[in-house]
Amino acid sequence: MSPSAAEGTIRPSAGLEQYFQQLQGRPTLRLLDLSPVSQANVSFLAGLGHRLYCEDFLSSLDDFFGGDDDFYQAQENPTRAQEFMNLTFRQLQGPFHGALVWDCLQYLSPTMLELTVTELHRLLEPESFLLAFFHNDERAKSVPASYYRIQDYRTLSIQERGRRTPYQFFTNPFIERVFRDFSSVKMYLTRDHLREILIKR
Amino acid sequence: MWNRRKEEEAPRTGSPLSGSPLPGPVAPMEGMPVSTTPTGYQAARNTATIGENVLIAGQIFAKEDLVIDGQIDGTIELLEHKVTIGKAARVKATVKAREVVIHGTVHGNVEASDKIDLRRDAHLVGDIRAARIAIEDGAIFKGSIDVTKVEVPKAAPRPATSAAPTQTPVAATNSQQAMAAGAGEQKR
Repeated sequence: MSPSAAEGTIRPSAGLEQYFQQLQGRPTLRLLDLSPVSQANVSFLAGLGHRLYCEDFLSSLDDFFGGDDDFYQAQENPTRAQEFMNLTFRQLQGPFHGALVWDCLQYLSPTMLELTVTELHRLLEPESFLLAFFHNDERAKSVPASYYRIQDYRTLSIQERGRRTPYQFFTNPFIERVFRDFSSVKMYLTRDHLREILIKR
Repeated sequence: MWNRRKEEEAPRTGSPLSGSPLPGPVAPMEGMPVSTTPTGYQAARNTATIGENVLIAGQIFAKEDLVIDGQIDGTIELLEHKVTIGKAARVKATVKAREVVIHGTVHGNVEASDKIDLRRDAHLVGDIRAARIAIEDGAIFKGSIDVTKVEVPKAAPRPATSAAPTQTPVAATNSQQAMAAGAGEQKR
């Protein structure tokens, strides 16, 4: 890992590398990026000829459910959860050929997690790939939520955007259960307590 | 020395387009019916301005650069020019221009034949399409991004005579080059 003050931590990403290997030779794909819009990601993905759809999922969650103590409790309200889903995903014109979910799924209550994964399954084309990150430090009370910026096919810049408390810890079997409707789940361990998961629709 | 240089660069006319930071109403000037508030976006002489207290529902066409600080509901077309959407602006419109710079809030699709520039205070919900896209950290965007060469048809020349007497100018300028029309119902 090499730290860079301006760009956060820059480190190789095996998950990202595998993700792009799957996209190789397929120009003009429609990709969903659930991180805040960034010049790095837009330039890189557009440079490959892809069309990008951006949705700052975490900010939308905060705006809708509030970032306070009731955050997860509010997400468990089925009516509100469904309303959020409609606002966030229903207007998207799928199918997408890939999704960059980053670390967003960690900050969802069980109801919201189920709904979000179902929506992603609906939006993604069969055989397409989804990249998600999960912190694997079981003892940590809070984990850094980050901006993920693509530097190249196998390198990410990771910049903290604040610390958050995940609703639950994601073990490998639990991740497999969450994505049970997808055809495969591959996990890549890293040195910074951030598991990278490549999921095939 | 420095002061003298600044004096030299300062506009001599005291036009509201000079970028004065002073808030508040500005005395109306001839040929500038929609500019009520000075703007800080370095509006040049050939730039029309829609001030903060102006609301326009309808279509805006212009043949020169445009700075928007007001509220627009409809469509904005400056096919060969640049539109700057200021921090205070609330735009609910389809925007088509050569270059689009966004500091404020836009709901609608944005298309530029050259460049779209999302500044840090920009809040854009809609699809964007341009040959070049610049995004500052902090910009909020929800929608699709298509970086591609946009073929923008050249603006059709207007007849010299006033063929459309019912049109109401909403963004005219000193040189009367700007054209705006059709305040009224919009089609979505």
